[in-house]
Amino acid sequence: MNYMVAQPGFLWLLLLTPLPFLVSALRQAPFPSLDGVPRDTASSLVSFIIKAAAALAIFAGVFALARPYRLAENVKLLATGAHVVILMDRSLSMDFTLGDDEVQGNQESKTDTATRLLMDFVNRSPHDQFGVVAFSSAPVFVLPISGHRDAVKAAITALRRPGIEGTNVGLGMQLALAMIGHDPEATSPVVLLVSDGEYGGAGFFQLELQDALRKTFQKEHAHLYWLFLRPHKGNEDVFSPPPKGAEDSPHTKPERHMDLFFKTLGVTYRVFWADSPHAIQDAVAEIDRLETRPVTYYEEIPRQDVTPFFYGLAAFASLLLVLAKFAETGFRRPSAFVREASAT
Amino acid sequence: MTEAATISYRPRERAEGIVIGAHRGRSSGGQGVFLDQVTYLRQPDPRRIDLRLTLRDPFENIYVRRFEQRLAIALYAIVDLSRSMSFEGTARKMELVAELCTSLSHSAHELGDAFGVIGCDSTVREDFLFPATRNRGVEPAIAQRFSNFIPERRSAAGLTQAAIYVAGKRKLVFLISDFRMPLPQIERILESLARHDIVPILVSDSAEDTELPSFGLIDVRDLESGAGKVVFMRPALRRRWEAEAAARRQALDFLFLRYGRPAFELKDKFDADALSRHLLEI
Repeated sequence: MNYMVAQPGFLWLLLLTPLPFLVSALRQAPFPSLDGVPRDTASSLVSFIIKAAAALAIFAGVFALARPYRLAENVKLLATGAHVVILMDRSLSMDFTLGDDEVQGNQESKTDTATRLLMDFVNRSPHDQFGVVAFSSAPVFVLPISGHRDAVKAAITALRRPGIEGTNVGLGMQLALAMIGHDPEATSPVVLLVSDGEYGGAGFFQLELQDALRKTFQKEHAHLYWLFLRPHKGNEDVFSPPPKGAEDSPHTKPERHMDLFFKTLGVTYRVFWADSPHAIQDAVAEIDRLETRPVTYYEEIPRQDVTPFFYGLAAFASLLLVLAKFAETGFRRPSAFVREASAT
Repeated sequence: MTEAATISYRPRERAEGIVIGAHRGRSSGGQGVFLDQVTYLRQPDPRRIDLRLTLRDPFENIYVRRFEQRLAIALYAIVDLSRSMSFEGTARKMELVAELCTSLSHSAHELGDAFGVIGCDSTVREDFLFPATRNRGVEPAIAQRFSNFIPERRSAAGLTQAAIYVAGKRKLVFLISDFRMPLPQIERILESLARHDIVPILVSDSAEDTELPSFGLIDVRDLESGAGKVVFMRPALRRRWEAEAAARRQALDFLFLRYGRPAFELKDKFDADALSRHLLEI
């Protein structure tokens, strides 16, 4: 714990702290001899408490004047859960409905569906850590892996912007893996790909990239889940081989080839269909089942002003002193009548 | 100033000396109250031959009347002037002492006795020393000395030296103090005055030991040492305080009785009649 003060000049006043032990703030009651006062432990205790409270009031008051604060710091926290990097497709096609139509009325675009499902996902997994990467033709670093729910939700909400032409899953995935690689605590990492597949197919299947991805996935032991934003019951199954005679290449059936490639990664891989009402429950259940190892993570705690604490302390000590002052009494004094009578 | 009250007193033993006064003397003489008749052989004083008894006696002895010679004595007030005597509770202690001394000087001079005051703090104060005199003129001087006196020294050690100033014949010595000192020191004072008729006057105040507050915090300051102590007053402690004060009072009386008289407690107000009763009873 590191503390600093903003106004160190006031700390000179700390020299006043021992003052209550030297002088008493109570009304003094002269008495012929202390020998006539019984020894009393409770009195000594109360006396010490009053002096200590007065010293504390001065000490805390001076500290409050000096405006102390706690330095920003990283705190190591422990939780059970997974490190999930949401890899969000921001291509133009994501702005269409699941049926690949223009959004009309109160229809939902794929982005809306995805963010809704992701919000749900974040809400259902309280101990998981999330990072967010968006990609279209190039990847965008949105949020590093963090346990801050608000930040994650804000990042997901921020994804609801009009898309950009292009779908470069490979580079996005590289960035997501790099994010995992940068987090030493990410012991059970998950890449959650949110995509509607590769329309038009940009250069995903470069061999070098495939090799690099395969190596990184194995190095990080990252699991891959694909929230697939396509109607389940399409005209044709995007993952099945094409009819005989048709060309079976990444250009004609990019999703099938992505799927094939993912299966060769040698890590846990699953596809969740976004139109299924249970997609998110399935995904959460799957992740929970697989990723229940304890994870440690660091959290940045910002600089915090602790002045109110010291003011509170000073106020509490002063309250004790006020109570002591109220309880203060003395020996009987000569009354005015006696004084007058003896003067005559 | 009101007329000082008169205190009646009586020395415990017959007075010695030559000055004729009001107290029963040790010697018998030609004047005074009839004492007895003795034979002429024992007191060959032809002026006081008791004719009636001489004629009545079948053995024809000659008898002489004897009379008890009444003598004057000297009174001294040895006053503790240390700081503790400046306590002000129900009353001011120094005012009580001043009143007592004024009454004593007045009463002593009424009876033709000599009266003196010896003020002591850490030493015997030369500026507060009034040797015993029958001169009435000293009364205003004593009253005036008390009226502008503020105790300032922190010790009453001078009380032990006061005996030097009251040396000589047996005197009636009023030892006026609050006796807030260790018992051995009080005993030393009493020893030094042992040949005199000591009347200890314990100046106390009900604010000190009986009329204590029953609850609260008191920052007690020792008037002599200046040391302070916070006391958390509550009924239990108050009872203990009173018990300790009573025990001390008992120990003091026990000590005083060994040297003659119990103490008269000059508490809260000066009551000349009570003091007279106290002095005549014992």
